[in-house]
Amino acid sequence: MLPALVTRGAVKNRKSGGETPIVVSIAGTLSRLTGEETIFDILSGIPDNAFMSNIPPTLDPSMSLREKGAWVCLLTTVAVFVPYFAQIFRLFARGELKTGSVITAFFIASFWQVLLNVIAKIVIAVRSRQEPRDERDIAIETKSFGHAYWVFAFFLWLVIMVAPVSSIAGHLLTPALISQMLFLCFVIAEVTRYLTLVICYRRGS
Amino acid sequence: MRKVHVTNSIRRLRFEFDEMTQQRLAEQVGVTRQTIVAIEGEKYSPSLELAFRIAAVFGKSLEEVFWYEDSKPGKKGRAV
Repeated sequence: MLPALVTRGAVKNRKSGGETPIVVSIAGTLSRLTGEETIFDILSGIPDNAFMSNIPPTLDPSMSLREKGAWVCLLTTVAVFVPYFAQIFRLFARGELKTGSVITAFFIASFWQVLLNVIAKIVIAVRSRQEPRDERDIAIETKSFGHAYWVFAFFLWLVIMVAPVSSIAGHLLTPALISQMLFLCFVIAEVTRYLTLVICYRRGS
Repeated sequence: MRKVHVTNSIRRLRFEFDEMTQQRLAEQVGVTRQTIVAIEGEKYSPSLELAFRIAAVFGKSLEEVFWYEDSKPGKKGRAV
């Protein structure tokens, strides 16, 4: 057990602010060792945070399967739907937004979204350890759905308020545009959900 | 972000249990290793059920593994 301790790093020197190799700290403690003492007595002589101070508990380079999945969903959604909505609103600005072009663009974007997601998730699943979905995953998912709901509700109310106001101002919104604005609300809510997942998994909460 | 006031001695207990890895503890209690990392880092407070399972792995009572941040094990602190 002792050699394993030595590999754990260094002890912070309270006076100088520097670090003393932990082996020196242990050596000093070992000099007090008597026949009655156990390894735990030695450990009790080392400052509480000696062998833990250099290992931040949250320093975890590996991502869980679900965190990787959240990243994939976030990136594919942004990569597919930012150009999609840019195109939709460009067509609207030119006055060329037709139901046919909207439906075509929607199916193409959905196809790419599904394709990229499936490919990325297969690659992740093949290369990652399979893990059970535990209570923290459920808690993070619940939080992400909660955040997404508020964002969705906010933008939905915005659309509901904007549509009549714009008609009063003489810019009647077409059904195709209203449907795209509602779809945009949904996509923003989804991005919020994935962002919440990613942030929560990164923070460890 | 809500501050978690429940702290724990899982890292020390793992050390005392023959350098038990986070992965092994995670498998024994049925969670992911990242959840153990989060609990150890006091970023996540486990459910009562999970807390009991973790304590059971180490053969300890709940109060010996989890306690409020402003109290120490052995002192009279409010456990999880």
